[in-house]
Amino acid sequence: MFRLEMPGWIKQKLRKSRVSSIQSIVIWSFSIMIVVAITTVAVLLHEKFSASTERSAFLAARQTVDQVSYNLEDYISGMAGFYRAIEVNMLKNGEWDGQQVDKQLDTLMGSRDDIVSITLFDSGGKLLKNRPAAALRPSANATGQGWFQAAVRVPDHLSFSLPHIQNLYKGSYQWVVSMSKRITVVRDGQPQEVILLVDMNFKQIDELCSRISLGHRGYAYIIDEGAGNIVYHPQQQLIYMGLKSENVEQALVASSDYVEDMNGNKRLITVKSVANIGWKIIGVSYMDDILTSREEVNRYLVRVVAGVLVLVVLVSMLLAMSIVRPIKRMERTMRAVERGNFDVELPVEGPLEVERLSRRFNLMIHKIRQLMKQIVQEQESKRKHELEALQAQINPHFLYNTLNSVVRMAAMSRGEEVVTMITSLSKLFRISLSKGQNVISARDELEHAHHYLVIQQMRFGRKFRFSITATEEAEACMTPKIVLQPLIENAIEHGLEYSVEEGTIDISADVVDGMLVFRIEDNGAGMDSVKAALLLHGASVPDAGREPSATGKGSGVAVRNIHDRIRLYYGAPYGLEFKSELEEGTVVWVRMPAIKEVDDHE
Amino acid sequence: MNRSLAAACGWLSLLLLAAAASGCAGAASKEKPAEAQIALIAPQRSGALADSIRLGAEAAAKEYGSQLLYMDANVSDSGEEGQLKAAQRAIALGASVLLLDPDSEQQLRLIAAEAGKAGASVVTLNDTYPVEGVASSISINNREAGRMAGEAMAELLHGKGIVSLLGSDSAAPGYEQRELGVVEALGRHKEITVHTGYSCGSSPDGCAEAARLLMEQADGVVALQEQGVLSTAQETVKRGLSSRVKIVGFGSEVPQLELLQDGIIDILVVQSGFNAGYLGMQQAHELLEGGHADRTVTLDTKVVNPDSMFWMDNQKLLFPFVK
Repeated sequence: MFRLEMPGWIKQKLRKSRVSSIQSIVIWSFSIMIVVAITTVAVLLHEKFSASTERSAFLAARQTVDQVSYNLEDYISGMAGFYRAIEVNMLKNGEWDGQQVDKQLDTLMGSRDDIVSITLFDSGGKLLKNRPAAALRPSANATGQGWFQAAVRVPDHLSFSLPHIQNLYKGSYQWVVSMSKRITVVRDGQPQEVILLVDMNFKQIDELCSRISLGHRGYAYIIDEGAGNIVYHPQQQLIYMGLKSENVEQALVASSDYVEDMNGNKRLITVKSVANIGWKIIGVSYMDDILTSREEVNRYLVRVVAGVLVLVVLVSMLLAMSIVRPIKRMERTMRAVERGNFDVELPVEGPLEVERLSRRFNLMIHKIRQLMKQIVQEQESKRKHELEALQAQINPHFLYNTLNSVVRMAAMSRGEEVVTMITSLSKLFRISLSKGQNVISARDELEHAHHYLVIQQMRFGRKFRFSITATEEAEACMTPKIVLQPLIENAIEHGLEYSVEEGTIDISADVVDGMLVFRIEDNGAGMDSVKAALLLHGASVPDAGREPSATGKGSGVAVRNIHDRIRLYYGAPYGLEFKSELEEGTVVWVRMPAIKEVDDHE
Repeated sequence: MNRSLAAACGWLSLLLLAAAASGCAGAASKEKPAEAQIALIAPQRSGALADSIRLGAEAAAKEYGSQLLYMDANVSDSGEEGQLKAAQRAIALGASVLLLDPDSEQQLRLIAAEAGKAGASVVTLNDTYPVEGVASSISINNREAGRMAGEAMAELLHGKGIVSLLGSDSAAPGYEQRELGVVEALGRHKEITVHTGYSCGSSPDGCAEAARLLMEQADGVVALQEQGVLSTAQETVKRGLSSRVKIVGFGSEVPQLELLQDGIIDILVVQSGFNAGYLGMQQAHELLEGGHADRTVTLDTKVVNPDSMFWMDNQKLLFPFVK
């Protein structure tokens, strides 16, 4: 069960540690791949390398031992030759006395420094002659010695003894190898058996063997092929004392190299016979010693792998960064879009896929921008139409009141006034319709205001005066229609209706700094600054629909609509401005860009 | 650099560090034996034993791949403190184990103190002085060797006679033990009388004097020290008594061996200097490797007589290949 849970747990953990990011995937996979590859190569190389070093170490050991064996063989055969020379010089005529022979022997001995002594015995072990001349020790038991017995055993055969201490003469004890032979000579007409002993210093053989180089710790020893005795061993005292042992039996029968395990030490044993003396050289090399190069290779490989690893990590980091960087940039850009900034653009560069992705993204953002613009435009025009529709509504109340006034005037036979009123009403409607155009000239707008004022003046029984002034330039400008009427209505209904004294409404139009400015001033009740502020920032369009203007309370909405309409047409810097003081009156500025009337106005 | 990148780098650098560390460790352990030094300090008087010790130590050094410094103590101006000065030089050269056959307890004490200060270890050969700070002693069992000598003498005298013991004037515990061993072995034979109390040192004159004194009525002489053996043998030759007075001694110096071959000395109890040097080196190597050295290592001794001295095995013990 636990096993079943593992993958999910790991997956979660992986996700948490962001191991699943492209960057880490690239770095890890790249590194692991290269490391595996390098390690494989390293292991293969190492195997190959160590196999070949092993081979060459074996070969080197073999060559070394062979060389020693040849040297020893040469040395021994040289000695045998030397022995023959002595034999010839000394025993040629069975005459070994006399200065002539001494001289010859001295010359021969002088030619080699490894000859210790030349001694001639009779078959009973009595000294006949020796060189250098010296007295035999009384305790020297010649017949009891191995070399003597060997010579007696086989006549006319040169036998080599094992290395031993020469104890015939006074003076230092030397290690020698004795060459001895029983020879029959004719002396004074009588055949006589003599034994010629030539002792050669063992130092030479010792040096031959101890100079051998089989690694740092390796050595060579010699056994006697007949009996398997150790003839020479660099540590023979240890062997004698039982502190060290050699596997002589195996070496004795072995004819080729083998590896043995001696107290946990692996040793390469190389054997080689020295034919002419019946000895066998056994080279011992310690495996861990001769194969040190294997460890060197190991260390080298570890270093190489480590170096490559560093390189691989760096390269894969760069690689991963070059892949991930554009993606991250894309992510940043997308986040900006998410926050609402659509004015971004991705640079179209980098790898092909990223380039394509960037291009697609840019196209998408572009499309979104377009759509948004379209929506804004649609919304604006929708609102404009809404506002215009509202504006265009003829207040039925106004019409009803006006017509009532006309009826009243007609009943009172005030024909002239009726005419004036009807005329104004008719002109008011004509301009209101304006052939369906939404933007009209300021001149028309002012005329519309004029007619409206005239009607209202008559209705309210000339309770107020009004004036309309405009510059030529201003009159020639264009304006959304029915901008002034709601403001005037406002001024009359809120400013003047309840005023005791005669009210005034002054309307002017001028062009100031490229702006068409209408100014509507009344001396009515005015309002406090809170109310004035609310006029522009209060209710919005939907309320306007419910509360038609000219009903008193809701007229603020109409004012607001004008403000919005101007801004929809011309932008934020334009619109209305109020300045009002209680009991003093109100001034309204209507600002919009001064756009000249086009000729095809009719 | 984000988190995963940092983590990846961290892991990989850890790996690298580990690899590097193991590589370094491998290298260090490989080179350690070559750097650490073992010094063999020669005794002031050289002889066959000192030579074989050196040979043994060199053989072991080769086998263990250690570096062996040979410090000659026989320098003209060094006086009594030759070994101490040699030890000081060895320590100055960076030796961390000192191998020596101490000339005297006093010198060994000074050397052990000196080595202790420098953080070096001391391994003594051939003797077991009760000195603080000696890591290991390689020595024969002197008591047993003394017994062997005593038994050999008893055999020579067929269990009957007067034996004089020529002791040593050295305070080395080895000689005391030998003497005890000899007396113990001879004491088992009721008809043998032992005269003790004679002693001589390493000077030929002093020993000749002592030999003359004890020669008067002895059937056999057991000499504990090399010079004593030689002087006694020479004295018997001088007096023409060599066939009558049996001589049993210790040592394997060349003059002793010559006298042994000629039958003037009857028995020699021999120890192997080569083995002492070899085993001393083995202990030193053990110390260098951080292992535990054996407090005492006991060497075997051999008894040789004129007949057996040229047996092949005994030859190898008595006559090292001197280079």
